[in-house]
Amino acid sequence: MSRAVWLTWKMHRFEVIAGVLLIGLLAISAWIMTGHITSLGLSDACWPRDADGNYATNACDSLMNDFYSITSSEGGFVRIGLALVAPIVGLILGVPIVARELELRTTSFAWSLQASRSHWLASRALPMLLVAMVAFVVLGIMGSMFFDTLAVGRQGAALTEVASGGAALVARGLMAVGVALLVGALTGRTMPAFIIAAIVVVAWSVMGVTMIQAQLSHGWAVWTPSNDDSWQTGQLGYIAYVDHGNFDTTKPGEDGQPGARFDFDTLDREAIATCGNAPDDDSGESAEFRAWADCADPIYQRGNDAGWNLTVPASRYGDYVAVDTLASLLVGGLAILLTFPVVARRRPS
Amino acid sequence: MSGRAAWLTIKMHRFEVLIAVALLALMGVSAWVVAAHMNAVTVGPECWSQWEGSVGRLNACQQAVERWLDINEHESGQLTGFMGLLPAAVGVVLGVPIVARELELRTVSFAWSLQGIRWRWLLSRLWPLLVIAIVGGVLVGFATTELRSARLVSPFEADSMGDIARQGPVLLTRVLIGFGIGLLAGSLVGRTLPAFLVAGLLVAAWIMFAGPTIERSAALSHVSYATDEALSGGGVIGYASVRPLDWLGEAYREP
Repeated sequence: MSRAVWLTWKMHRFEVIAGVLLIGLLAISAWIMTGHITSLGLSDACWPRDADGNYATNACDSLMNDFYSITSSEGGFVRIGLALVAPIVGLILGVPIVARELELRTTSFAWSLQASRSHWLASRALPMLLVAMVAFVVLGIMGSMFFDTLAVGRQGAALTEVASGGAALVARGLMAVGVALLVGALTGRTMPAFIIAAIVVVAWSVMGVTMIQAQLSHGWAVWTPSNDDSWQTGQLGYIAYVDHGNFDTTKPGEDGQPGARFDFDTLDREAIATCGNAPDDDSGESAEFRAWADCADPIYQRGNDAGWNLTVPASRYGDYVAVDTLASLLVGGLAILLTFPVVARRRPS
Repeated sequence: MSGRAAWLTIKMHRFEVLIAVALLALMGVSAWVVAAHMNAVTVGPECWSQWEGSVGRLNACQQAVERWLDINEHESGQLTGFMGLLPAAVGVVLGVPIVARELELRTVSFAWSLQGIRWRWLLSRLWPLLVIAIVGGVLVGFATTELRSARLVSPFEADSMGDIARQGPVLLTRVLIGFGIGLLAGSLVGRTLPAFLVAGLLVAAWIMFAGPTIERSAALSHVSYATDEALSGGGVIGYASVRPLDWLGEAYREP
């Protein structure tokens, strides 16, 4: 095994150095940002905000300004890095494992020295997978620490950042390794394999994951009144928004809905019956129009006050992470397993 | 520089040629289609001044403005965003393998032994892909110029410094920058994938840091104070706060 590790290092040292360097730089950056934010000394005592948006004390206002200053500049770059670097490094490490030897036409000789091609593939892939795993675990830990620190300022990770820390980051990175390994074995050339695998990984990360999350959101969403005070408390009430509706809770609604859908035509008729037709004034500034609006607004307000949002509670965030981790591991694992029959059947050049 | 050499080069790099041509065609056709969408929405000059925002009920005139702005924000905006990086990426895809692949496959010693001079070998490998890059870049440049003309119909739109390299002849130079950096990186590194990554990093650094710095330096020679009316009424291509305390900033004006 140590001989296989040494050989892999000798063959793919550029990719290993580039990958480890990228991960190392980002992990150190995330660690430094975590330290910066922690050193601000923000505490729960700064919340809630008053109606004007001020924090509990003037000192808190200043601390939150510093917090936003960090998170909107260097902290923002770290967030982008945490979302992108693991899949990129996965591609860099995964593509050349089989593709390079096929491209250089050394596989026919290498395969003749091994009892089975599967054994050869395992000896080539395992050291790279090990390097990738260690690098992703380190980055995953740093990512989790970074996002835990953001919670001090009541900022959480968005749904697009489920794979920016912890186990989900490791899984997303390994998925990229698996896809890159398979595409490399199929194409037999490194650069084309890198481009194709990058397209597949981007498609999965952007479209595939979004579609899965949309399905989950529809299943997990619950109706809640839209007049929440989360902007004052800083406690985000929901993680995903699905729909909005106005409901009359005094009447029975359809399955899962808090009441019957508000009938705005009824309000229109009531407004016309009570206040007459709206004056023809697009600017809305004439005295006649204002008098009509003063009469009709309370009627329409009843409908507006009955606003509800169909949202997924923030407490469900961990479930999204778990599903993302499992889905990435499934795709990556499947791609790695498929590489074995591809290598077993393909021509050596 | 025969047709046979061109055929051999394209055969060797057919994947890269296919990817590059597909991306160039996608960019050119998209720009042309979006420009046609925008031109198809007839917005009278009086409509622009009537439009106050997408609130309340809109008459036909304002609906046309709304529709135009929607195309401009979504279709044109997204396409312009891609134009920042894709042309240079196409150049890199075409430039990297020209020398790197033959070095990596160790076929150069044989190829060089057949040619009297190495730069002639390089030229014979280079020109077919360079022609593809130039022709593609010119066509996409024309299509993006059409898009720019369609955008400038609106008084809300003006040329901005950030978009200079995303249209017309400057877009072609982005393709050529990517091609040149890719070629050099490939020749130095001698392996396609590492050269692709190195060239990608260099091109990204150019687009994000060096290019804007040069554009800003060039614009500084034309800087002049401008009134608020000038800032909102066109004739200004960039705006920057040169002194930290100067909150109003200073405007770059077209020479």
